[in-house]
Parts: sequence; C-alpha cells; structure tokens
Amino acid sequence: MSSETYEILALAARYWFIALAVLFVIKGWRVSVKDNRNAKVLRDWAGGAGCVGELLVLEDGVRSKKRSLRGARLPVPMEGLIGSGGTADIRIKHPDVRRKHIWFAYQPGKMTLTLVGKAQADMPVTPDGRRILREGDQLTIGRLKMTMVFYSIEDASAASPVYVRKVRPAKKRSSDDFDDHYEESFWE
Amino acid sequence: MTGMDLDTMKKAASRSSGRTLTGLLVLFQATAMLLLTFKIEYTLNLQSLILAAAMPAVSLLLLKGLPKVWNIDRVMLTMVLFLCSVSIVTLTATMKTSSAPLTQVIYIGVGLVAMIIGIAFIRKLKYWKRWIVPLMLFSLVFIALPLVIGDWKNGAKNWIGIERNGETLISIQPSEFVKVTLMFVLAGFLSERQSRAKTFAAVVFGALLCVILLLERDLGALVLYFLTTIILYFLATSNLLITAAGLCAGCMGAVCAYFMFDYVKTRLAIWQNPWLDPEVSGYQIIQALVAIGSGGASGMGLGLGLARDIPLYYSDFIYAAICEEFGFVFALLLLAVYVIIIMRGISIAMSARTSFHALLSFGIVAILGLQTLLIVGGNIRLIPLTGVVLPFIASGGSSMVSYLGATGLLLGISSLNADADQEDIERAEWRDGRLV
Repeated sequence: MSSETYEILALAARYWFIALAVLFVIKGWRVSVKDNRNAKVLRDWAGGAGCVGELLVLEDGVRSKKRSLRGARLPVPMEGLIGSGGTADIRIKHPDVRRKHIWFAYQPGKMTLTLVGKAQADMPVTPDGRRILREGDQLTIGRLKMTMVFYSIEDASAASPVYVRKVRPAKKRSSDDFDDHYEESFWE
Repeated sequence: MTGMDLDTMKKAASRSSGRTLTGLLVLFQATAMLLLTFKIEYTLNLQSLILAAAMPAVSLLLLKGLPKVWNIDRVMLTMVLFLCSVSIVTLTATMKTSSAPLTQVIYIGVGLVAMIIGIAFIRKLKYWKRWIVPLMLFSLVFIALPLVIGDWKNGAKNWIGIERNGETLISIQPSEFVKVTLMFVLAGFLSERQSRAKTFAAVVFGALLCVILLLERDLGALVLYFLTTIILYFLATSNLLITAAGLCAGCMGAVCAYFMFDYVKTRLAIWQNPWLDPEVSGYQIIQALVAIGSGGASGMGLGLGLARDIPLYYSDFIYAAICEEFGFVFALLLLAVYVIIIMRGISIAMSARTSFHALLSFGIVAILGLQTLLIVGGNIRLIPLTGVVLPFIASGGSSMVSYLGATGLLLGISSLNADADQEDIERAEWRDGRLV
C-alpha cells in the first residue's frame, strides 16, 4: 500500500475509532448503572442476604408479650457486633445487653466471639480459652438466652463436642431404706 | 419472602453478559491492527497482522471461558482488555521497531496469567491474618532492595536489574508490586475489630514504605502510597481527626521536602514555567503539550503522529501520544473507561461479604484512580510530573503485571459476591418451598 493511500485510510479511521469508543463508553456506562442498581437492591434485601445463620431467642425474662423477643430469629452476618447501640450489626434492645457487647466473626462451622470491655456473657469456652458458638450452642446475656442456628448443612453438622461426666452411683443404704438412690450424670 | 420479591432478587442477581461490549472490543482490536499492518510503505507488517487475529481470539477466550469457571465481572474484564488493546495499538503506531510492542504483548500475557492466579488465590484465601506479618516483612525488604543493589535511572533509584554478560535481561520496579502487598497488609490490619495497636501498626507500615521511597526519590509512588494509606485508614475507622492530622503531616512533609531536596524544587519549577529552560529540563513537558495540541479533537491519525519527539513517550507520556494519534475526544473517553472501572470496583467493595475483601477492593480501586489522576494531570501540566505511569496502557512489565494481578483480586472478590448472592437466593427459595 502506498503511503498516500495509508494516510487517507488513517485519517478516515480516526472517526471510526472515536465512534467505537463513544459506543463502548455509553454501553459500558449504562450497563454499570444498571448493575449498580441491582447490587443496591441485593444489599438492601432484608432477611438472609449475606448471613450465615440466625440467633434464635429462647428466653428474655421480659413479662410483656408485646416487648418480648422470645421466638425472634436474628440474622447473623459473617462478622460484626452484637449490642443494643445503633451501630451494632445484630441490634438487640434488651436491658442486659450493652451498646457494644460482643464481637463475632464467622469461621467454617463456628462463630468466634470476643467480649467488648467489661461486658459479661455465658457461652461455650474451649480448653484453650476461646469463646466459640457452634450449631445448637447457647449464648446467654443476663436474662437473654439465645441459640445458634447455621444455614448451611456443613456448618450445622459441626456441632459442639460432647462432654460426658461419669458419676459413681451412691452407696447402697441399709435394707431399712426402701429408696435406692443413684446420682446420674449431668452432661450427656 | 413473597414469590414476587424472590423473582426480583433473582433478576437483580443476574449479571450483564456484555456481548455488545465484547463485540465493540473485538472490532477495535481487529480494525486498528489491520490498519497498522499497512503502515510501512509497500511492506506488510506480519506482527500486526498476527495480532489483528490473536488479540480478538485471546479476548474472546478470556471473556467466554473465565466466566464459565468463575462468576466474574465480565464488564470490568472487557474494560481492562480494552485499555490493554489501546496500549498495544499505540505502541505499534508510534514505535519504530516492532520489538517494543512485542515485549508489551509478552508483558500483557504474563499479566493475564497473574490475573488468573489472582482470581484463584483470593477465592481460596480463608485465613488472611496469617499472611499479614510475612507480607509486611517481605514488602519492606523488597522495596528497600533497590537502595542496596539498584541503579539510578531517570533520577530515581527504584529499579532492580537482572543482568547477564553485562546486558540487562529484566528490570523490575519493586514499588509496583509492593502496591498490591500494601493493600493486603492494610486491609488485614484495618478489617474486622480494630485495636489501637493494629491501626498504629498499619500507619507505621505505610510511613516506613514512604520513607524508603523518599530515599529512592520515587516521588510518584510515595504520593500514591501515602494517599492510599490515608484513604483506607479513613474508610476503615471513620476517624476524621486522625485522617486530617495525617493529611496535614503529609503536607508539612511535602513542604520540608521542597526545602531539603533540590530535585523537588526542580520538578516544581519545571511545572510552573517549563519555558524557562525549553531545551533541557522543560523539553519533555513542552513536547507533550505540543503533541496534545497537534492532535486536536480527532487526532493526526494512527501512525501519522510525531510522538517520538517526546522523551519517554512510551511510558510517562503515553497519554500525550494517545492524544496526538487518536485525538483529545478519544483520550477523554479513555478516562471515562477508567471511571467505569473504578465505579464497578466500588460496587464490588460495597457488596463484599467481609470487611477484608471490602477494604482490599477499595484499596485497589483507590490506587488505580489516584495513579491515573497523577499521570494524566502531569501530562497536561495540571500538576507536577511524578514519574508514575498510566495503568494498563504505558509500556512496562512491572506496572502491567501488578495491575493485572490486582484486577484478578478484584474479579475474584466479585465472583465471591456472586456466589454468596446465589446461596442467599437458594436459601430463600428453600424457605419458600420452591426447592425440595
């Protein structure tokens, strides 16, 4: 091809490339705006979006049926804060729950918990001192008692290990005593 | 959850196929490289002819194949491939020899492999906390290596060269790779529950890197690292006071650097009035401005410009070369592509399921946006030149590989988001009784 022919082609191609770029940017922008809107819809979706399980409230010590949380299912995201304050990820309005009470983070099969400051709560503690919640474990904050329920089958099957304490049966009393009394194991 | 809500969720979770964008990309690659095949009079440039077929083929392979393996953001990948294509086209059009565009093709190839590794890595990574301290130590050692074994190049000592028989085989710029590890370490320290010790460690790590870069005279990377650390710190903690204090400290540091180092004074003086010394220190920026002006709105035409008159037109001033060849309108649309990538990156960050992934995504997007702003601003004399290069476009292996690797991390996080959305919908369907 001669240089003159190439020059004519190149000069004409300038507008072709600009047109392609305009179409590319307009289409890319429209698709991105639509995808952003869809992403916002998914993020705002209440319920199970982004959650790994629920805390089911068993008891809360509140007499009023209207204010009681008994039976409530609180969605649990992958990580965050349990508390009564506005910034908490699991917000529980209960007098025994502090504004920032427990930090939690998900790991496959369990939730690791860390108490904030002077907050108090009862939960299973491993022999090395870590606080974790597995499927079915109870978390007690004052009068509030909750149990952990995972959504996925893999997480739910990683239940807490069973601790069995064997107790020797009590000595048999004299034949005058008609009651045979045995102590039974408390944990099974 | 009602049936209607669930259908809305399913529709919202479906990803755009981006077929039109793929078609436009392939059309651009094929027509541009076919045109460049005939650039030299009465000679067929075989390399351009092969690339006219290879580039669309590789693009289609990636855009069709990768989403089948992982549910990645196809539109973002298309945008990044478009920028890489502009790089190859511009280098082929402006450079005399065909070895430089071929080298760039090889770098992009290596970068695409790094991208795929990045996607797989972030999807597999579960226990990132274990990596923070080793990565931190590696980053400090790697970025300090040029001070020990590096050479002065273009006024900075930020390169390591691997030599054989006195010839440099490969030269690596550690600051380009440490950008990615910086994001990892900062995201790791600042995610989840922050303690004062962790946030302090993050800030000290960022500061140490900045000090090393100051000793190496790599001002561009220094500004990038400093601003990215500040932005991530604010995003993670929302602590306006300490963020403002950090910014003030940075400004004071800049003022001190002006009075302490002559090269900073020179850079600022050239920026203020390059015509004071038009043949030596101001030559580069003047040639760039002349090139941008010569290009006008629609450009001089592919291969018809004189971008070679600008020193380092293939790296620091490639944006000026694009303005000359393609025109200012095309160059502005290129910036719009960067904006779309940043927009999508922010959306990925906001939809991320863990704070680590969110901060990592924000960090990558922030550094991409800042670097683009710094280099384009320097090219058009809006701000002083800083020595960084245009991401995905400028000639250079370190920048290309590190940015494509970072893109892989971003795409991996987008695929994790899509998988999590799908799980949520399946769970909702099960609850609704639609799934047995």
